[in-house]
Amino acid sequence: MKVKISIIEDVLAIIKIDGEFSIFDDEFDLFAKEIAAYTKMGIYRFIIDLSNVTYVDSSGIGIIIRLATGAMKKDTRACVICDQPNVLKVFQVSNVDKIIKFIDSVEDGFKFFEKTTDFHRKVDL
Amino acid sequence: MIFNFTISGKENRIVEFEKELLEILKRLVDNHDMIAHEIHFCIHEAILNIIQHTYKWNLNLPIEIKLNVTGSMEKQNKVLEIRIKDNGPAIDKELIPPTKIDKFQMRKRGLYMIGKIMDEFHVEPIAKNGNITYMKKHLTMKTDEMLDLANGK
Repeated sequence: MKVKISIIEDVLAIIKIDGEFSIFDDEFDLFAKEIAAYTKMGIYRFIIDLSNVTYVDSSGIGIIIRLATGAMKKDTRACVICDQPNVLKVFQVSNVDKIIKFIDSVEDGFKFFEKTTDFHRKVDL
Repeated sequence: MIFNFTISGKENRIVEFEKELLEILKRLVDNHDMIAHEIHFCIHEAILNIIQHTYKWNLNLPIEIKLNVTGSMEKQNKVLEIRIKDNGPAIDKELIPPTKIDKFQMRKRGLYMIGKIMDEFHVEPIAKNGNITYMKKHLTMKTDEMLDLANGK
């Protein structure tokens, strides 16, 4: 599991995960702690790019639920990019597909947060 | 056809086992990858359940996994039974997965998902020490299920 996190204007996080998003991965604990730190900082706009994720388990789903819960408290949604059928199936079976917003690109995520929150890009990203 | 595995040790041993398992499952379901991934997911979650709740993250304790395949695709009676044995304290009573779950609920979500994917699933105690996680899946798909898969449902 490889994780890259970019923070945009201190209020929006783009998380790109590659590989297996599973609790058995060495990086998982550190990633979970980082996410907890960002949510404590008050960040609730998340774009999670799972397009290169080959597998997700209930612990990975748990992190997405945490992000989705924080977003819904602010009347918005956590945005997820995902086109892997077996990963989408896990979202569907867990009912988590009902509490997140599926998007096609990071740009779609920016537009969604501009529409649903007071987020405005100062420069084109 | 019977496959037996015993896993213990570090996380990477579990990851290695799960890779081997996925290849076996793909062959068992005639390369219907989605079904193989679903069963793989359930076995992963069952192992995770044991490690988290029964073994309390003591990864040195062994977990025995047995896959038993009976019937055939041609006769439309192919069935996979999975028994996962742990050596932890026996649970008080048989565990049956929840049939409903709150959309924000974290706990028991893995069990709920296994219950939705598998045709049968429960965890039962054996004597004073140890439990068996039992799962069963019919591998022969009906025509409408095959159409659903082809349509990505």
